[in-house]
Amino acid sequence: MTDEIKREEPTPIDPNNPPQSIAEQDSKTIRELRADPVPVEEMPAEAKQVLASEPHAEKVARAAAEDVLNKPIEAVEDAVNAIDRETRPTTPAAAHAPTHNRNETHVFGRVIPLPLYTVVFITLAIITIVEVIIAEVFPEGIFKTVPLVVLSLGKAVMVVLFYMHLREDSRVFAFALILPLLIALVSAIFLLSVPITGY
Amino acid sequence: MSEARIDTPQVHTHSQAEATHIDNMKFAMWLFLASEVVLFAVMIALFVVFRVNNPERVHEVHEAAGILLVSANTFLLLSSSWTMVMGLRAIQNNEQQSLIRWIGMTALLGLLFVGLQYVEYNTLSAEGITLYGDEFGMRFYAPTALHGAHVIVGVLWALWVVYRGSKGAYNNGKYLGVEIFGLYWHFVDVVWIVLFTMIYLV
Repeated sequence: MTDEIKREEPTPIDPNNPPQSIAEQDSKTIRELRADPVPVEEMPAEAKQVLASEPHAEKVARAAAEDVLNKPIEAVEDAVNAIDRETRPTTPAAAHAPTHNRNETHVFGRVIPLPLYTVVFITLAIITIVEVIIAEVFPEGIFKTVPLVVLSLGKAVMVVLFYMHLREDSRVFAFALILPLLIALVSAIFLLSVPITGY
Repeated sequence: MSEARIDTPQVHTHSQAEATHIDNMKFAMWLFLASEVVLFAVMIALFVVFRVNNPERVHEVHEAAGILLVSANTFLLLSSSWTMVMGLRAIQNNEQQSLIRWIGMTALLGLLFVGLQYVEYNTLSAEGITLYGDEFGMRFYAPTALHGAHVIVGVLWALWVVYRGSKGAYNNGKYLGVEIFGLYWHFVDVVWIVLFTMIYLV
């Protein structure tokens, strides 16, 4: 039989220089790939010549200019990479998992190894302790009332956003809270403006 | 020749579905909570007006009540909100036994809250602060007792969720009942957060 298909032999893997896995290449950012310098011995002859002929002072000036020019490019890269990291699902399951079901929480760029709900709970507890201290220590007056009211409203908003899931649920539900609160606020202001003895 | 057509599947991500689809039961719960907001807001407003006009009377009551007991109660309710969401998280991960434990804990913490509130009321009435004693009585007892009644209802509801959970009524695709109870329970917590500050601290 002569019509046997001639299979091409796979390229043998060089043990000293194994190919990068796709995942590894994929995990590199554009900047990391760009920063990967080409070793001098692998450069073409012309490039070697240019490199050797360039005076030192010029080389330094060029590096400085490149640094300045790189700044805006790096800023764009950072933004693109950040969006890329946020939107790239690792597995279909991970893409669908609600954020509050992960075992770690990202707060201002830090990673806390606790679920979001626990982080919220600890925050609420700390704010409550601070409130009690303010109530006990501060003298009567606006400097006691205002922080207390602000802290308690902050706590209420945290519970609504994170525990009642308003942060990711329909915005329509927010009106169920905001509208009656506005009405109550107007009523309270009216009541406060009425003298104690009434009209 | 047949028409060559590629049907693009309708892909809806989870967040898209959440953003566009409003569940009727959930919406009903939010509407109910809206009516509750009005009720509690009016009661709190009444207290605040009294507080502004009679600071010395409120101060007396604060001295009589002491802050320790109410603070402990606040922590109980905050913890119960935490156990509540952890229960929801458990059932979203399809851990039914874990759901029962967390919601059971929620019921227990709610019950402890009501118990401590009973102790607090006893202390206050021993100090002469009663419902019809003076103008303060109704303005204080009405919001706190109504809130206590909500906690009692919440405890009963939690036990119902535990019972339904033990019958295997919930799983990671079906947990709306837990979620709606959660909305109610957290709302009760929110009301207490505001009540605690406005009545006991300010």
